[in-house]
Amino acid sequence: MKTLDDIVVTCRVRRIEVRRWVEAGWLLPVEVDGDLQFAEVDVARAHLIRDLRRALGINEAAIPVILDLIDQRQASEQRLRRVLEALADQPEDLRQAVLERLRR
Amino acid sequence: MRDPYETLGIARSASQDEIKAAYRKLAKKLHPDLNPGDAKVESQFKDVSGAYELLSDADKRGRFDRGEIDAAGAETQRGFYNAYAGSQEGAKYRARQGGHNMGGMGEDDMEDILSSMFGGGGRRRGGAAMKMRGQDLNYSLAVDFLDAARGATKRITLPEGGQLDVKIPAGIEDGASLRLTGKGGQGFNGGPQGDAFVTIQVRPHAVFRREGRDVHIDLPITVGEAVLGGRIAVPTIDGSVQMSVPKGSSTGKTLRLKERGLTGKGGRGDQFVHLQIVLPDKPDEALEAALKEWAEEHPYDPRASLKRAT
Repeated sequence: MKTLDDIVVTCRVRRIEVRRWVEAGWLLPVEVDGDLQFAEVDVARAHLIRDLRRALGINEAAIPVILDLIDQRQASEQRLRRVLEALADQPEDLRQAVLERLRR
Repeated sequence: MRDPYETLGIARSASQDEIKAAYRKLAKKLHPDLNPGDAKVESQFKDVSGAYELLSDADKRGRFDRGEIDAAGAETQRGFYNAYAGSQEGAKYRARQGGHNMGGMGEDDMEDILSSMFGGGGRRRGGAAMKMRGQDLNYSLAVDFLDAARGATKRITLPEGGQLDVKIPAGIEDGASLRLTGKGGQGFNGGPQGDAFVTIQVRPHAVFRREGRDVHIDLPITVGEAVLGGRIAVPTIDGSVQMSVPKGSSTGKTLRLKERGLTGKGGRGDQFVHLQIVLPDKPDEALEAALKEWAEEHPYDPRASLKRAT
């Protein structure tokens, strides 16, 4: 777990910016006894937000839209993965029938 | 690494604005989170970012131009968000899709897919609604070594506002996961709530080291204590205890405090105390004089076994 200070150092952003991202709900750290704790996924997401702002020059209003789209895409991928896993557990003839149908 | 000017596709005389514009254009095209699953794009993005980092810093750029530094090492180590696309950790972000709030329909919501497979309507159509269990949610929690050793209760405030009291059992190991039944996402149509899983990270301690159920510490002692022995206060996870150091204890001698270790399967472990003789901060004349005389009269060879083995 990383602290707010760790994020400031690794992402090279100001504390106040990270706090704003948390308040806006773009980042979801947990708060333990008053201190924010960031998981690896939160750190990677902070990097992404920084890149969107700085490298890509995207304005603040557009950030949540982009984050949502990325999250939606990831959620869809997860659902597809679950369907494929369920399919992989089925008997050979059923899997072949599905493959046939997909080739049409 | 390639020439940073070449990587960004700019002239060596490019202005800072031109460098920034070139970088932004490439970053938009190449950002790995916008191009999932393309390793080539990811490595290109890293090159481009490294080149920009070098050239956007006037000082570094000058040193590079003068040949004082090369282009290597400019890129920083980082993980991309997309690497967590399938992780439990990232589920909290994916869980709030489609305008639903946290605990709403996320990736676990398979009903749309199921109903289209079996010819039913969408999930909101009256009787077609199925009872569904809420989503399981995952959190990580870092705790101090002593809290993990002794057990503690931590109040965590979740990003979406809720609070969880997490009871950490004494002796919990780094990486262990606690299940809080019914503390996950809301159920649907009368279905039960999901569970919350909390993964515990134990922070290292400056003094105590853990090995299985046992605790190890290095204990500095004086020359006097080493030679003469005595009773010494030793920190344990329960606080300080008195321990007897036998006469003539060398550095590396290990003493055991029974059942002062961590609670685990099969009871408590032990604490092992590794002695380390430490001389006074400053050279001491009296000690030198005493030892000079003593050493001449009492020679001994602590390296005899080394000589035999080499």
